[in-house]
Amino acid sequence: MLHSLISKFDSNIDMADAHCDIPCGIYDARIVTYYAVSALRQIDILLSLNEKGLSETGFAMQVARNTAKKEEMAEKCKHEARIIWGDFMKPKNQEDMAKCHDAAHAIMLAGSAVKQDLHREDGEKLVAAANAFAEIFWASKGVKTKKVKTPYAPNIEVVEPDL
Amino acid sequence: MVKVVKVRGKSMAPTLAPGDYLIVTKARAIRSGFVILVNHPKFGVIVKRVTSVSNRLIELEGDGPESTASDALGEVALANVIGRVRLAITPTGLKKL
Repeated sequence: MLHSLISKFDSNIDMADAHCDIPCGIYDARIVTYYAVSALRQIDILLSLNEKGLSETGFAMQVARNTAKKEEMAEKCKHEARIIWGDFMKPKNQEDMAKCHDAAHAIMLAGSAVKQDLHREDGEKLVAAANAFAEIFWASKGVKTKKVKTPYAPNIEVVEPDL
Repeated sequence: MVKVVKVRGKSMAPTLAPGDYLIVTKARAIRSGFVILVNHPKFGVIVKRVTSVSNRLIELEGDGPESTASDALGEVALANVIGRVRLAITPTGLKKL
């Protein structure tokens, strides 16, 4: 009863942290785009397996391995975006808040689509969503961005900080 | 001085849970075993248990297994102590510390 009574004054009560981990303060959206590109690469590899003349067993093994990796990369992309979204992003106004949430949500949706099926456009959507998220992230830190093509397959444009 | 703060985090479980309110008073002396509120130079205002006191410095640790390790918390100057936690107001009642 006393607890619920005091909780009505929450906005005036200071917090006392009982840390469970060590906040390092290191947040970097490049890891989100890194995993998005990796997921797209796995899609490309899977889509090209038919042309490799693999034995039935070899094909099955390769599909299993690349599918597992595709799902892992998509999940890591979602995971890293969630950390930045939840722990770092503190939008200053309603408009920024909406942009930030939309970008993070787009990663969640595209990441799930990449995991569920095998369409290149889903991978491209995930990279695009990661790029949009990265732009918002770097803008919030006052850092300019540039678009560069990855110097490795799938040679897709990613947003990088212009440091 | 009496201060009321709210716990955030699980490092003091099972003694304290996130959302518990703490009644903190100024402490004349700090001894091992006390649960205190301290202004940590790196982690801000934290609630931890004192494990040792020496040369105007104290060592801290959480009660829970997931707490930030005491070596990461380092030693904190006694001057940074805000007060001693005397009472926890939990959703199920009061807990004297």
